[in-house]
Amino acid sequence: MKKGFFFSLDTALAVIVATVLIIGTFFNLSKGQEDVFGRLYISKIANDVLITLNKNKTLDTLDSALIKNRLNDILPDNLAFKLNITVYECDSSTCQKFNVVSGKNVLINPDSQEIDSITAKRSFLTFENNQIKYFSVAELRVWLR
Amino acid sequence: MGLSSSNKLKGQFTTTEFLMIVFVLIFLITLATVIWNTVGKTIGEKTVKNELQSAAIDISDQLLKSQGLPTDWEGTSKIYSLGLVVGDHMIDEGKLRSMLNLPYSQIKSSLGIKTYEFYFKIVNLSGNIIQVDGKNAEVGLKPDTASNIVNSRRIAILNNQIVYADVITWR
Repeated sequence: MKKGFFFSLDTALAVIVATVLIIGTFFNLSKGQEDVFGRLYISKIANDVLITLNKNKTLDTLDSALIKNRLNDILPDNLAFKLNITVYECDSSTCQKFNVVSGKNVLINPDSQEIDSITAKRSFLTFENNQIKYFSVAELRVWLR
Repeated sequence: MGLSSSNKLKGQFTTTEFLMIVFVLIFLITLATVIWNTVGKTIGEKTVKNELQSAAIDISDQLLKSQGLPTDWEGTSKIYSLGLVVGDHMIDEGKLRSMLNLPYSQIKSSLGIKTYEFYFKIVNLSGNIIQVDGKNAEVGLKPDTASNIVNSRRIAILNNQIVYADVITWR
């Protein structure tokens, strides 16, 4: 009886140690397979989008429908997005301070459910008669569908 | 003094115990070998993929964010670094044309590519390759038979049009 008892305890201990080692190995293996460049790449794409839409003056229009169409055209199908443009204007001719312009802000897909999103930001100026009309901050959130 | 039969057996393996131990040992050695090989293979593949991904992003950044060195490299024979833009993400058609006419080996050395191959193309939003002077805007070697391929698709502007710049690194 006693001989059998010790044999079982040894076996149980050995099995536990082996199981822990095997699970640990596979856990570390799966951890090592996480795509470290995936998020960096999505961040690059999000910044590319804001830069190009700023350079080709699409953002300056502050036209929600136009900007949304362009974003749908440019962004890969596997990426979902949310865009928020906050528009400020000078409080005076000396432009010492900016105030939020109510009614000018652009919100695209505001109710989309974000999953581990990545944010890109870009500020830009809108001119009118060679003078700064608006100062805007665009915040684009992008995530995998 | 003679030993009793029970004392003779004390501390000895029986055939069944011996077989069980051998079986367990063979099983553990096989398992360890399989895990070792799997880990080695996974790490190796991951290292190659990481290198290619990092390279693809670096190359696309270099091409789309810098003018190159010297900045007017398209007019010189000594090119230290390639860059395609006049402003951030604004591709200059003249620089692109010059790059398309460079030998592949010179492009590779100017981009710091050593241990892998690369292919670059500029396509419109429909996926068709842009034409520059009647020539496809593509350089490098296509990865027809490669096992490790990474594509970094970036967004830029060429002639007031939004385009995709695809950098593909492979081995």
